Amino acid sequence: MSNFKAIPEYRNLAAKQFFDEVVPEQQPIVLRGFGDDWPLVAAAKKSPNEFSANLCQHYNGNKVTICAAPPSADKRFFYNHDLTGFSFVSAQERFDLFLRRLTDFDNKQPSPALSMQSALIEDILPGLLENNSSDFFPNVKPRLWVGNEGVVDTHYDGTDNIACAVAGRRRFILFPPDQTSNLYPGPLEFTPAGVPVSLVNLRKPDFDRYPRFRSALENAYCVELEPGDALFIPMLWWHHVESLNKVNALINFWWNGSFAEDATSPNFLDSMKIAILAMRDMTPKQRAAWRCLFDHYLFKQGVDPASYIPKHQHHMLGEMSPQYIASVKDYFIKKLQK
Amino acid sequence: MMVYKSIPEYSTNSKTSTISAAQFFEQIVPKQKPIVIRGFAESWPLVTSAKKTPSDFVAYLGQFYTGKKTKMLVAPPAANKRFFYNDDMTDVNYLSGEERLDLFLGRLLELVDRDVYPAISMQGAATNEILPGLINENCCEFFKQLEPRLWIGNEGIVSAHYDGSDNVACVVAGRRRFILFPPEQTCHLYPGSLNFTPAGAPTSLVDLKQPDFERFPLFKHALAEAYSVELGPGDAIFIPMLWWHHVESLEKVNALMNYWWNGSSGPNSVSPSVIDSLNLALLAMRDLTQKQREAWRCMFDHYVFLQDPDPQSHPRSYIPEHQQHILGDLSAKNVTDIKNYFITKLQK
Repeated sequence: MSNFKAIPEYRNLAAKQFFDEVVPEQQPIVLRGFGDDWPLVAAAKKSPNEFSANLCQHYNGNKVTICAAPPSADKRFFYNHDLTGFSFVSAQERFDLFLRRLTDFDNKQPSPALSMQSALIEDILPGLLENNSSDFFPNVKPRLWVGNEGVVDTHYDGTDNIACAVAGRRRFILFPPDQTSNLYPGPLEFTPAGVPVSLVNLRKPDFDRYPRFRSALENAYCVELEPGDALFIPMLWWHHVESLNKVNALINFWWNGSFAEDATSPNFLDSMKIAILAMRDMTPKQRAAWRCLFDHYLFKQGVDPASYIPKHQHHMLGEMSPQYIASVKDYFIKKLQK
Repeated sequence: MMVYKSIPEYSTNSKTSTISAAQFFEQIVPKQKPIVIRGFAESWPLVTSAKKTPSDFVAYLGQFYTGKKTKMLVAPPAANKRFFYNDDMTDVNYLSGEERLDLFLGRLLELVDRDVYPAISMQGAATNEILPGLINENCCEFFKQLEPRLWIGNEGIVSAHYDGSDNVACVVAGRRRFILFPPEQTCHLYPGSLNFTPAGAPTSLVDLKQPDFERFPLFKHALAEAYSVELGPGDAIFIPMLWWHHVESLEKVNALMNYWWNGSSGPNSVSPSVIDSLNLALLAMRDLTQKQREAWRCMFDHYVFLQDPDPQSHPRSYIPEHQQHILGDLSAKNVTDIKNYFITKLQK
């Protein structure tokens, strides 16, 4: 078994301190007891049925998307074996029926892995937010994840994330962005979770096929969350998430970046795909040369261009007004139409 | 005086040829390092005429001219021969316009005897359009299918910039001094705006002739890694894509013919260009902090720049072909579909 690194843990961290001191560092932290005063967490600590009843009192009847993976998928919501499809199916279902199914499974073996992923709480359980909210995020719409034992393979989000376990235990394994190449990240277009995922099965790594994954493991962090505990996962930190109980739930807050409500379009991943398209004929040496230019202007690895170019010639390098952004987009739409 | 590095020299002289076209494309180009090829255009009548007198050169060109106008630049004497920005960077320091080539060449000869004169320059004219037939008599074994561009002017300086293409530039008249910086020196060159540039490509803001080291202290590092060479009529230089180059024309009449291939100025250039994609990434990432940019850099390193020296780490080597999509070989139809997808995204 791998010796994972520990993530710094906090209790009773103030919102201001979190945003002023923690977020800018873009390193993960654990926030123990983040949701301890939520009635939902208290109910979940009693029993799965109490948890279920607590949720159902807020349910407005809207259907949700459910993923189901057969026992042969080994609890993974992943690709099928030859990457022609997925290891799970998804469908629309009533949320209360889904919850009943979860609690019914309780004593059956083997059961499929079931999961409801990233549902906007206001869409299905509008009243839930009244007593289960966080002063960290007065303006972020929280999302709910519910399922039995299941694994979401190592992936990243293009946004900062606070994920709070509200029922069951959840194990997170995190890899910093600089481990990207050691994770064998998969297709950009066809993905089980909307974002690229590592092709390595973290629980049973095939080191013959993925030898570099050993280095990733040496740089991995791990934490197990109890109901009420939260984890800050910075943008682009790869995370493998395992739900460990028969009934597990998580509420998360995405802000900054591509899932945020003020997300920019094109988003980051789109802009990377455009770069892939534009450089498709370049040799490795030419790519290395272009990297120098991206390093300077975009990733700001040296002196910031905005520091030595007069403001009136900043254009894309400085603050952009909505009008300027609109004109830039129009310009590139025309370019792409050629 | 700065001690520059020297560039490896080859020759295609009739007597002592040290490089063939095949060697150039198979062994030199993949390395993406500059080389000099002496005597590259030694046998061209254009070069022979230029070696006689400026008037012979002008007369030789004149016989192909059909009367089309082309782009000219004029920088007043105050610009000190440098085609650049004006002092406060609100504009460029030269005027540009369309003019007849014969009038331009006449003006060039007229200025030869002046003490104070503007820098004038005809830039990047498509040879087949302006001087049809010229390249039939002055053709090059390296680029049989590629239409070269012609640059003519008196003494002048084009500040350090890069091209998004591979480039073979051949001096056909006068002398030209090239100072080259490898792409890794980008960060020490203080490259200027991406969106308003004197030459179409981002230009270093440092005046190489009189560097202001107080304002641009890192430029010292760039100078330590700079290469320099002076070319005479018939000599050529290979400038790889993204190598920064400062170019000085040293005589009263200078001309250069160049071939761009691969990349944005080449015949098979793709749209969007790489610089377009850089601009779009700047747009997409405008609100990101420095640390978040660093994280995206890791993602770009993996998927775009293929930085890991281990080829087994490159996405194509471990993602099955049927799921490579944008990472794999793209048909014309794929490219159109992808572009349409991004057009829809940008319309949001």
